[in-house]
Amino acid sequence: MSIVTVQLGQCGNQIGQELFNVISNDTHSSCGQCPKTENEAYSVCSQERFFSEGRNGAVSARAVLVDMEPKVISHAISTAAKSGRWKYGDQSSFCQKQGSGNNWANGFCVHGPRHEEDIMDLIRREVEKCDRLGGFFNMMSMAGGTGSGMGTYITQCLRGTYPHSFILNQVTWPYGTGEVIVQNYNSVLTLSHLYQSSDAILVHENDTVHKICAQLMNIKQISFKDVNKVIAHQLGSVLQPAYTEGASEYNRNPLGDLMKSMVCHPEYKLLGLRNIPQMSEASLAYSVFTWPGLLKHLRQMLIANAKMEEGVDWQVRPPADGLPLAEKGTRNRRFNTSLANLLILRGKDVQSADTGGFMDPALYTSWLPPGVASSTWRTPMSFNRYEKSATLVSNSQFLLKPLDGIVGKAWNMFASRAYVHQYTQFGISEEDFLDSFTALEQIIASYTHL
Amino acid sequence: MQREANVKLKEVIFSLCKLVAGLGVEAVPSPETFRRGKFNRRDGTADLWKLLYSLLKPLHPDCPCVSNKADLALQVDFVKSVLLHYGYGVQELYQLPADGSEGSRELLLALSWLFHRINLLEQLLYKTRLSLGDETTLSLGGTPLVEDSPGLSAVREGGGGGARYLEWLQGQLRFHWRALHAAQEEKAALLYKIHSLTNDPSTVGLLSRKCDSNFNGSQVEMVRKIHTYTKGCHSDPSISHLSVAETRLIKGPRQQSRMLMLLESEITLLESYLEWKRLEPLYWRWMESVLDAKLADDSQEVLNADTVAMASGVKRKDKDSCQRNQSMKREVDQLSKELLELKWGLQREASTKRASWCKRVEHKEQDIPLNPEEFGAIALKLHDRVGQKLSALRCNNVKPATNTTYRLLLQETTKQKTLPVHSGETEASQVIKELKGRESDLLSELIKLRSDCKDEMLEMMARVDGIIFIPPLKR
Repeated sequence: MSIVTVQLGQCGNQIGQELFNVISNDTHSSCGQCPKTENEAYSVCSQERFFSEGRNGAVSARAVLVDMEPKVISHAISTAAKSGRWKYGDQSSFCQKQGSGNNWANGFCVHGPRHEEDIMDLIRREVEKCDRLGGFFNMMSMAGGTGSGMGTYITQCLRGTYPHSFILNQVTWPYGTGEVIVQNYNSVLTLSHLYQSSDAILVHENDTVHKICAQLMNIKQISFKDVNKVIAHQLGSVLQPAYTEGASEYNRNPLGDLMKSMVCHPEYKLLGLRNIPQMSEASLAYSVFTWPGLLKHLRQMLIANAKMEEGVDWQVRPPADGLPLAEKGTRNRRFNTSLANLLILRGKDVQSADTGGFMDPALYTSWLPPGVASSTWRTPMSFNRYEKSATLVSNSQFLLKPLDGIVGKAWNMFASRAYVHQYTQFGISEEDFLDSFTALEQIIASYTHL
Repeated sequence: MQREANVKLKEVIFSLCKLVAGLGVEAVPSPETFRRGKFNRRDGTADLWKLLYSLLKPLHPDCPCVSNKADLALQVDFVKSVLLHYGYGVQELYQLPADGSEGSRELLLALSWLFHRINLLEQLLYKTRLSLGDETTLSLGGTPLVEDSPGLSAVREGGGGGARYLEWLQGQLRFHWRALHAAQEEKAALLYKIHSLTNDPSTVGLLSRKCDSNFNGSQVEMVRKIHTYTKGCHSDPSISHLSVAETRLIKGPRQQSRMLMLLESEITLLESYLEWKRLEPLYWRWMESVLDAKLADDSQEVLNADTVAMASGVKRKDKDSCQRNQSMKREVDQLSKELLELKWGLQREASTKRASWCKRVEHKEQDIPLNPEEFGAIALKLHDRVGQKLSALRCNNVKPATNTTYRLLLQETTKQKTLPVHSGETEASQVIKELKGRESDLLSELIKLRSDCKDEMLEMMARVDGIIFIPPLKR
């Protein structure tokens, strides 16, 4: 079952290239502690999912690269070809000469419709190469113009052309003190429109990843490449093959299984990732982990809404049983209620890992039983040279504060109609803005009352 | 004469028992049981109930009354409900006791009725036949009736949380359905590959060569030669390619002997069926005698028949435990009620409209020229317009839902006239066209229902003060 990746905009293309790198390296490194059959099954499954074989055995990624400027795409293609193990297909990129100028309306109303046919043609060719389409994985950023505006438009087209496919959007949340002044507008418009056409929205916050690089990986001069590598590692740990509960073969429907466990309710589509351990390669060799330790840490990260391993508030506890519903509003605000959680465990002795801590009904909202809300995938194969690695995909209140922040800032700007003319001149009216704000307020309200 | 007739009868019943045993029924009653049944003896009755149950079970595997336990009472219930479903109207059968101790003659009559009415034996034969082609089931025609969904009661119980849980479950169902859809597409794509590859004789040679190394090379050569000399790959010239099962047979010669055994057993079964068909007229003549015996007995008992028994029989019919029959009864009642309401509504509407039209016609009559030719032309035009409007209003015929299995064949498009979908053979493009038409009908109905719902909600919200209704963003 194959996933077609659509890389949109500068951010999407850079992260996408790193992601394929990570996957290719992971597939080709053999795991010493697993039997050969296991290794083979894993690499065959992963290869089928992300790469296609050409006539002369050349391995090319199942990806379509889209950007308005040629610089990033050509860089990505050349870096991929240099690796020697994989490359991008010859006819799978689309670019123009001039960018979108960080204008969402430009991307959505002008560039999108203009180039829709060409881009959908490229995607269609990739889809035809697949024996079975497992879904689309769109990568974009929220702050820019091409990624967010055109990316949203392309997602809408995908939904129209392939109404029964699974669409997972990966969005990169901009830095809080970002350089693009209209990034809040772009973010609001992107999220509200993606909610209609996409099945699930997986969020990465630049601030968080930056902190991970600084504090956990001890990188002094953090470049975008480092940030992208971390994000690619986290994404790879979700998308690489694993066994769902009770299965005897690697799951052939990764996006479908992910969505079945996480985003069945149409109002709750925002997903967050936590991955531990994360450390620099130098210290990797000297660290030993145990599953109970990792899982306990991860659980506390979930409850206390911590974004990374360090600085976790261990004081936060889930509410005691029997707390009446009326007091829900005054409940410990720092406690993070989840709707659904998915644990992905990779590495040695994974069968012995006990995930009972995540089945605690106090962690979850009242109307979904923990048996349904919590699921686990496992594989004994180690991932990306980490002997043990645990990832938590969570549909919870963790994005509530950042979302509230962005909407608040955008509303302040909108109230004084700052920069709105840039959008209205391309076709996004004030009505559209109001609709988007309404939609996001609804999402915030749903998550608050979880 | 009597003894010859008896011997003949024994032969007939024996062939029936052999056929039934071949169809897979486990405990076949002996011919003696049948003979005793004519005289309404008690001893073979349980066997006859069991026979009916085993014959009817494969035709209704989904009915919740079916159970694997050999509980006679449950089997009796099941047989009664299935007979009711098919419309068997003989009251005495339903009055038979639930422990299965009486009524062997009624059971014989019911069995013969089933043979004739629903072609019971033919249906069972069709179910157990061996098929080597790639098949697919199509369900065409018919609109699904909305049943009283159990989900609504869950909402009432669970309060606010219940509704959200239901939405969650509905989302899960949608994702499961999508995964199924993708799997079906993959299956179709791979099937197409096999069919198109085996259309070419040379590739079959490749397939044969790639099979077991133990397989004798010369046999492979012979098979290949046969295939290249025949047109296309299949021995049947109208089907020019192999199916999946046939391809597998070529690749795995050990399976061929197993297939041979299966084919032989099917041939024996068909032979026993032919034998039964030959002797069938005698069976019906014997059944006539059974019926005569019953009527003779009944005429004596009819004087003793108590109305209480009849009433209790009717009541027992109402307490029919089969869920499906109950729900069907409910639906039929509902439909007849709606039909009646619709009829009265239409009559009312028609009478008021007719009154207003008559008035309008009176006004118009003064304008219309009384010239006969012009009048004729105008009348014709009006007639046409009315005819068009009526045909637009007329909804599609509700055809009964059919679930038929078709064998898939890949053929070049022939320039034949297009065959209607319900005939024996049909083209995939034809089926697709019909399904697309149904899809658009259902979609327009859905859109209409949605807008009705929205209007209703807006109306309700308008009455409530202090609440703003924000509809969800358009899909």
